[in-house]
Amino acid sequence: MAVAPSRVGRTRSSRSRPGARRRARPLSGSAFSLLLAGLSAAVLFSLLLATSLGPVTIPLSETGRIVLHHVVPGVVAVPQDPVGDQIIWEFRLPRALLGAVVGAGLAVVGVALQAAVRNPLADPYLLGVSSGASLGAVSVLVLGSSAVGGLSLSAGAFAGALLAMALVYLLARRRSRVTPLRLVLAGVALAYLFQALYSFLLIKSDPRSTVGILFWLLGSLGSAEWSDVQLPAGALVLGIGYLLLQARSLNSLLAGDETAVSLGVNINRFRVQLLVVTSLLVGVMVAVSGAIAFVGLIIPHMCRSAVGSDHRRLLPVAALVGAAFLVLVDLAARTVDEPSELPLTIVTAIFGVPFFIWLLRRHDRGREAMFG
Amino acid sequence: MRLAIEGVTVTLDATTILTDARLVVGRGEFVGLVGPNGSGKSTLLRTIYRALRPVLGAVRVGGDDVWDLSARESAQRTAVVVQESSADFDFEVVDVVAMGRNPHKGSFDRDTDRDERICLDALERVGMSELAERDFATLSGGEKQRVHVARAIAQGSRVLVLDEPTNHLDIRFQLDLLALVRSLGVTTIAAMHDLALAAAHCDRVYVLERGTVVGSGLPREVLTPELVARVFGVRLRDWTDPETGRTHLSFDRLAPEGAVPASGTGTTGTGTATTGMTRRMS
Repeated sequence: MAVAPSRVGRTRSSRSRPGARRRARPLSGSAFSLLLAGLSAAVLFSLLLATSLGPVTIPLSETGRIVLHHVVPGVVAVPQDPVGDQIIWEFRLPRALLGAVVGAGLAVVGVALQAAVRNPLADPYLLGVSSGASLGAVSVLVLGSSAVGGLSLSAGAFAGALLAMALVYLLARRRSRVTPLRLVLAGVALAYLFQALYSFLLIKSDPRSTVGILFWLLGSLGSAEWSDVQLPAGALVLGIGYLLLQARSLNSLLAGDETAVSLGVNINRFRVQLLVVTSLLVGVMVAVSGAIAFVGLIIPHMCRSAVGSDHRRLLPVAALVGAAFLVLVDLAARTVDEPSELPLTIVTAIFGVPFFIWLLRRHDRGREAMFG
Repeated sequence: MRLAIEGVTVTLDATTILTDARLVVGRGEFVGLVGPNGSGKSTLLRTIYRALRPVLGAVRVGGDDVWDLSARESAQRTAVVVQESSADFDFEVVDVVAMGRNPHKGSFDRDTDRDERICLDALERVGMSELAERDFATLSGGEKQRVHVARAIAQGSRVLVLDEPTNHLDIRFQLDLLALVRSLGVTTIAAMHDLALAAAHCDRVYVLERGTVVGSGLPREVLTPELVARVFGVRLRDWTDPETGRTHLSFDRLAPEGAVPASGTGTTGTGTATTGMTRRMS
């Protein structure tokens, strides 16, 4: 049964259906642009909805007019109702926009971290970054700003996130290499440590402030102002820009370390860059919103199953879906239990945990082990 | 493109894995690397694609030290297929093949029609056109291996590094794969477990033992019963099939002192690995 080399390919492909070479999905196409346009519209609509609904419901058309008046003052007339104007422009819109920015940010961070450690279960929580940020914030809240070097709440959270990532990185480093498995193990271990530390602080704190701190730990956009939006928005644009430029390298990373190296990726340098970029992003997001769980885990997976793992598609889709998702979650958090608000993680977990279970069941069905 | 490993020594954690290894693969040549587990085959291969930096010596691909090239330039010259389980992510088969185009693309470049054609042609060459849109994670081990070969083909490199390329493949695909790789005409170095397969398909073989090259040359001249007994601890016999006139290698455990030699020839996996051998033996 000698097989002549030149005929190997043809012998097999002769069985293929005619037209099997045609790909239904082009590598870059108008269908994808249409998807992005649709998702952008969904984000805008969710923003409008979140701005319109609340204890005082302002009709969508009036909401739109008020927003447009502020965006293009000359064209749209001054709103009739100054109270509605204030509710929308001073409170709801910055809050909704911040929700969109944080949602997009957490989603792309999830995408990047999952590629960085090649583990579909990775998110800022798994790698200890969120817990580090929480420890920083709780330290400021409980011990007071002066005890931690005069850091504000946001700065404390930001510093905590960076410190956590630096520690995770140092622990995971061996022979100047960082391996995915060690990153995950170091992250999980440190996350427990940070949780223990901030829980200790929480228990030792004044009982009257406990609820406020707990609220922060579970994530809230309740204090959003216009001045909170700019820095996260800027960080988001830079972060997504960087990740999109590295999209091919992110793809290569998923094929395995050896293969990624052979495809021209300097994996050690790239991993460190990814850790720095993602922890900066998480730090900025957590500083304004508290620690919101599950967004960084659910959204990347939802989007993967829709558009695949090619990061050139996945990143923009995840950003848009994450934005719309968190805007709607925040809307639910402040409306379902009116007049009180729910922390965001409670709402995201109600969506998140069933999805997580579904994800695990899908893993059980004969697919490969988590750690590549 | 010529590959030359010039006096390469590699140490990891103060342990020397490779000592003064010297090896040359001529343009278009198919060279096999054999040796027992832990002899340093993978380590040697890893120095070629810049996954490991030697403490002494140099690896030259196309005349240049690979560490004088950028990671991307090196990837344009050298493609690699290793045993590596990839993660449980949703990639279509053609997406994996498309990764082979990455070393040729800048951050702002899009995939062109030409890239897509290269990827589909590569899939056709490994006989996987039908599965182009299948979820990569659902493929069998052998199918995944062929997709990675297609990815290496799409990479368009003139040097190919294979680490145990035929593991996970049934015997038919082992032969097909080796024939396919030979037909590419690129400079190839392959670490191989199966000595009979290596003998049948390689232009030349290098034998590694505890990090040192202990033999090199034509398979028939290198894989002598003495060397095989010393390095691998097995008894090598070759015999000629009276019907086909082909020579087969067969292996057996070395008989302990005074024991009756085992009667079976233990030809598992060797019986069909004769195509190239016949050519070389005649």
